[in-house]
Amino acid sequence: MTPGQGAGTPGETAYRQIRADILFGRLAPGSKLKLDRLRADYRTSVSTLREILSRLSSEKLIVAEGQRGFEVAPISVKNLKEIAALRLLLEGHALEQSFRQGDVEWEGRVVAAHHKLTLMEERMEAGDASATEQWKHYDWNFHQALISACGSRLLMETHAAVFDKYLRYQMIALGFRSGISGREHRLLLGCALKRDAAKARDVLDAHVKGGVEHALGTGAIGG
Amino acid sequence: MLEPSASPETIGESAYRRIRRDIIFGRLAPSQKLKLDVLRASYGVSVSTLREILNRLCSEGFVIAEGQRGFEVEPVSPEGFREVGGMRLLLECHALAASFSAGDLEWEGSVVAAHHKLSTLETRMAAGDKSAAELWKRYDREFHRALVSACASEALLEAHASVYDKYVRYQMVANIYRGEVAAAEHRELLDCALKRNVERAQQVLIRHVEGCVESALARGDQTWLVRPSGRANASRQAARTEPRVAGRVKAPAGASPSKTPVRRSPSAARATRNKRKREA
Repeated sequence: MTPGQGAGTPGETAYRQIRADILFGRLAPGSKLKLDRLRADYRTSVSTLREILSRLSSEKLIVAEGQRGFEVAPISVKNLKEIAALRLLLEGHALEQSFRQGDVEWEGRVVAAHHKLTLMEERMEAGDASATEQWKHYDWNFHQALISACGSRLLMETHAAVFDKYLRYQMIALGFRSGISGREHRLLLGCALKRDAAKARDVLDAHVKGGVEHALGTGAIGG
Repeated sequence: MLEPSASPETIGESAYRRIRRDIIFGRLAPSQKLKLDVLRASYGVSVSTLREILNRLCSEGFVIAEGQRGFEVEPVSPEGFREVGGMRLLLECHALAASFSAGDLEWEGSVVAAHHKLSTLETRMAAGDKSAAELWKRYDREFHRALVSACASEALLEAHASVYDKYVRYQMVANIYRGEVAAAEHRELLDCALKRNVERAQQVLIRHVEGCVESALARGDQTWLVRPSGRANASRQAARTEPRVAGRVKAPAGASPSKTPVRRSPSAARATRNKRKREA
């Protein structure tokens, strides 16, 4: 989820909108992407649209169907498990590096990101479902902040791409695991400040595996 | 990718592969400006197809968009090489473990075959036949791919393939040839695979990758880090805000790489990509 701020060109704006619509499930997995329709919905030219679809297809968020067009990447239980495992591999490693190298500035970023996330979690707890997207946005920011001192741009970018795919599953099989993820986020914050990477990896492991089980339990993902 | 194309493909697809390969093999040099009219002529595609291709290569990290001005080949730097090497190790070590434990006899066969082809090319390279370089790199890649191919995660294999190609680009651009050292490591990896010795395989791989990165960076000649000449980059540099790019410009040939590389933050990287301008 690319943060929404910053002025973009019309093409950039449309790219972000389409991408967000895929991640948040408004463009459903497996649905066909018709150029005419997209052009009207996102108000861009066909040539700009082709560039956008080309980008999204190399991100594997959409797939080309031969010569005929594109569809939103399908979902499957197998893929969810692969994405979750890859997220754990990348994020666990990045946490270790980041905890080792993070300075006070980094701690500040982590604390701030956690504070904002907590407020959103409280809104969710209170039953305000309209906050869902914002909540996910702050969740993303918190996890990114934790690893932001890892020192590798490539690792951060690869993680971000995987995290977005994971997020799509969360949105499709959405559940707010009331209380649980909030507690795990607090634990992660504590680990970060104490630089306890081993424990943070354990917490993250439980966090992601719990999220996957929850998603599978909803039955929304299918086979 | 480095593998040959399987089915008949569109002109755009074939141009995409050729441009990608030319970047990986350094024929389109790091930081080289990619002029649409020049590329259009040399790859025989329309400007709009070309823009699609360059956008795709942008999101793969082989090309960067320079605001409204166009595209250039992703630059190289010592820290960039280390990051790519580190990422390759993270993914490949993990995949090796999964693959070794799940691999069956078919898998062993594919590993043995891939190693045979690689070692044949290594012999040709050692005999001084440098014309085989591209094929050699392809078999190198196929051998490493075969080793991890039973890991059972497509997502992991995709992520690995993407970082592997970035790694090969550094090898080609830095003109790395480690001859018998690398060949011996490949033999060790083969042996570990057949014995399912994950731990030793990981150690060999770490040596294999770190040895390569460090030998390239320790070498006196760092000409591969120099930006192409004849490029008016002074004004553009000034216009840019992200420190990483400025920090990547290397001094004249022979100068050692900066010890304190400036790194562009991921958000800045994203912001740069977001600056990309399209004509409607």
